[in-house]
Amino acid sequence: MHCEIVIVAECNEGELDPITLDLIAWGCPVAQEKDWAIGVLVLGFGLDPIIQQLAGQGMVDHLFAVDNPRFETYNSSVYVNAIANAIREIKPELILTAHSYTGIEIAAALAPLLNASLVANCHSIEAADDGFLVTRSMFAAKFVATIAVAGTHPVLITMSRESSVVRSLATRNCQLHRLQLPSHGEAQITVVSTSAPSRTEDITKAKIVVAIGRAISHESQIESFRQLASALGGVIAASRPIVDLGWLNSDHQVGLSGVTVKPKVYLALGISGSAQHIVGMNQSRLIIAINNDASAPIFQFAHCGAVADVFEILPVLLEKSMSKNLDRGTGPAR
Amino acid sequence: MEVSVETLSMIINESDEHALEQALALKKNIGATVTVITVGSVKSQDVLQRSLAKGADGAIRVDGDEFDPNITALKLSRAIQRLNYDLILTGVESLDGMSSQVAISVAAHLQAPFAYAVTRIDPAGSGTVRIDRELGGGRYQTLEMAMPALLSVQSGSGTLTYPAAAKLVQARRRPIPSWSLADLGMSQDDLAAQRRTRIVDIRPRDSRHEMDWLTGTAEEIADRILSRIDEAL
Repeated sequence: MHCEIVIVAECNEGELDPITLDLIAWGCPVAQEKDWAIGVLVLGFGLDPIIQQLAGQGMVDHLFAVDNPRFETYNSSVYVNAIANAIREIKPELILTAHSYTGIEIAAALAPLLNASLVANCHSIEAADDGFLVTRSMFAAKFVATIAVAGTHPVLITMSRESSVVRSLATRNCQLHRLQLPSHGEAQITVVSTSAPSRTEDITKAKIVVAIGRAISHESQIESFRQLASALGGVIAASRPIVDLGWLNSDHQVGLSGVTVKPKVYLALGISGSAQHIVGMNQSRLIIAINNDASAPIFQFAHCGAVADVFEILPVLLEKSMSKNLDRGTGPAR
Repeated sequence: MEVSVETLSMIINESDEHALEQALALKKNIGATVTVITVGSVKSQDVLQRSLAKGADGAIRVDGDEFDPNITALKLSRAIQRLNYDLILTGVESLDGMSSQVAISVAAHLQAPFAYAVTRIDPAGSGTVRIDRELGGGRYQTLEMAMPALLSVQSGSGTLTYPAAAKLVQARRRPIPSWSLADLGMSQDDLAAQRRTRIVDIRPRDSRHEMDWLTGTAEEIADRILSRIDEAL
């Protein structure tokens, strides 16, 4: 059951994270170029729906499933051992994972175990004569580096959620392999509890997202931003500092730790744009940024921006958007 | 293409600084000896001295700038192997490399349990530590881990402290031990055999689109924003 490219599936609460499909889409042209087989490795418990989804659509040549109660909840010490064992059987040349918190753990732990080279947080991958070429951000995302990685040893790549790929996939005849992996003694980590996201408010469906960041220094200031979001028919969101301070709950956090949004308009107010935040909003149709620091990374990603004090623009913007609603006879929240 | 770090100022990454604060908090609350360690040329000495000024007990510099995080992890793990430790704390991501991989790979080299994006550390006693960590997407986990363990500390809202000027002056007088490859029991050939990645090109990020800079009075800027929003919907 040798398979040269293995995608480690990303699953959350028993569902396949769509980034898995991006990983497959990145792997397929490489498979084509090198005349290799491509497979997905999925760990979990009660995997039948996911197996059907992946095998049924015939996206890959092989599906390696490890379906066992031990994998119901993510535990790095259990997962990494199991994946390493599976990889040793499958013997791939290239392994792709998501650059998510779990993907980082899995890939970075596998690299020494398999004597593999890891290049993390990549935006693209292509086949090269003697290995692979990847691109990735460096230096606070102000630079893009192209890195050549030799194919003499297994290569591990974590792909950023920022990477965009066309998911047009050839139809393949998918073989299912159910792997029985030996249990690996006592785990060094005990999972005491895992909490699912509360999702009392889903900001991923909004057409307009008004996001606030570190420039907001008092909780009392948040109400005006909420009013602005509502006047524009959108929702309020935030970068990490606001959520850490408890001023908005984590449903509102955009970025790697929170949710990914792709609204028609993303209004970034007083957000400097850390790499962790950018990943969660970079694919918005129109990004408008206001920040008093012209060198803030957010301006590298914005389509439209003003170097200004947020609190000078906010009252005018709020008043104008409210009066516009009055003119139209529409209520605040559409 | 050769890449030079000469033009970059050496600063401690914000997330590493949060890790140091956590270590110093453990020192204060339960008593601990804190050693700061980095891989870098002599230029990174300043970062270590700042850490001493903030309250770290010792510092070690593993000599040599390194661009391949796979190699950085190998060198760091070899260095840490020489120390006695219960916890290894790191940040979540460096500003320059942005790979987030070094910490976890160090743990794998040392066969220590690890957790990424840790938001709370609670030494549970009897050789274990209880931590809260983020899983991403708004999910969280509480874990109990056997020590020694490696924790990659999330940059949080925890406040960062600044060393007093006098302490900084004092720390700058302290010599920082520098460990060579030979000290780590490795040779250049060992490293060369592990070097399998190469930067072939590095360039400023292309702005994917023309930036529309809004200038003028607050009134004018607000008008432009609203018209751009109208066009986009």
